[in-house]
Amino acid sequence: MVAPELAARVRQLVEELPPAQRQVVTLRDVEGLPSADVCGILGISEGNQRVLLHRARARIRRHLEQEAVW
Amino acid sequence: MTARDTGPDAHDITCRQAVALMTDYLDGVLSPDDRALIEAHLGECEGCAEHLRQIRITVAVTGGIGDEDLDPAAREDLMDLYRRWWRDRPAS
Repeated sequence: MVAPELAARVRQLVEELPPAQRQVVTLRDVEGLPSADVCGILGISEGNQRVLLHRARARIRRHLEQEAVW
Repeated sequence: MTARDTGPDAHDITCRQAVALMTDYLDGVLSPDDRALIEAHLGECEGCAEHLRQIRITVAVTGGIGDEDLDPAAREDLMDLYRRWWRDRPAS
């Protein structure tokens, strides 16, 4: 379970992502789907999925770092 | 002596390369060679080990937010794509 304030902030960060990154991180990390399914659902390659997921996680991580969550 | 004689060491890849491998590392889909390279790097590079730790926490926190409160329009678009994919998926 995630502290409500942190969850609210991460939810906001997810919504502020560029659409393609938001879709990938929502399906992979919020819904917990495997990468093969996410590629099929979004019609993207494994490589593209990986890049989008990487960027999305990196951006959320960076914001949390700037906001001194760690 | 080459790196191959002794196994990979921390300097066989740069921090930038290590970070680029992290998503696949967390998915467990790296080749054994690449996995050995990143693990050697992580074993000696505190900055990258900390970066990986923060990414793991980010993934865990994102997994805990629940999808109920995400933007309804964006969520509905995704559900449409999901339903279409489910309907058209090849029979296994």
